[in-house]
Amino acid sequence: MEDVSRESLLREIQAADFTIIELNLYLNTHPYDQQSITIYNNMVQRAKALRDTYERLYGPLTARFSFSKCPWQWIESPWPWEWQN
Amino acid sequence: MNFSPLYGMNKLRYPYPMPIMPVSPELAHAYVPYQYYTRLYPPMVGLDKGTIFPGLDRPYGLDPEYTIDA
Repeated sequence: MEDVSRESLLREIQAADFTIIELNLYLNTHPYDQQSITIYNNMVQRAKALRDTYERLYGPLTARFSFSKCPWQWIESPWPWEWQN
Repeated sequence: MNFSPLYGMNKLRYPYPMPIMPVSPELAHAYVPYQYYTRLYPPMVGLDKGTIFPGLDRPYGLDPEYTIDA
């Protein structure tokens, strides 16, 4: 099914974002932890790449920070509440 | 915990030693111990557990010492 890979890609983006937030909080109190900063930077890069892949395959993740083809892609289905489980 | 923060090699990474507690703790003040880096969960595991730090992974109810009503 097409939606399986779409959902798992979305899940990977969420996981990468969550790791970024966690490292963000950690680094606020550990600003000299070079190893963690490297992991943080790699994760930011990974999240960016995953987003690019997702948006190229399935359309915009945000209305304000994503490029759109014509017609305007933001209003395309499915909306988040239209997912099938 | 299976690591000893005060003697871990991790502290060598810091330009100054960070004590796990303030050097002169005040009576009646509450402190949070300084967190030492150990290892991280992979992103998917972290998202599932709610933290990427194994040391902070303490699901409520599992450890009787940290559970009030279980």
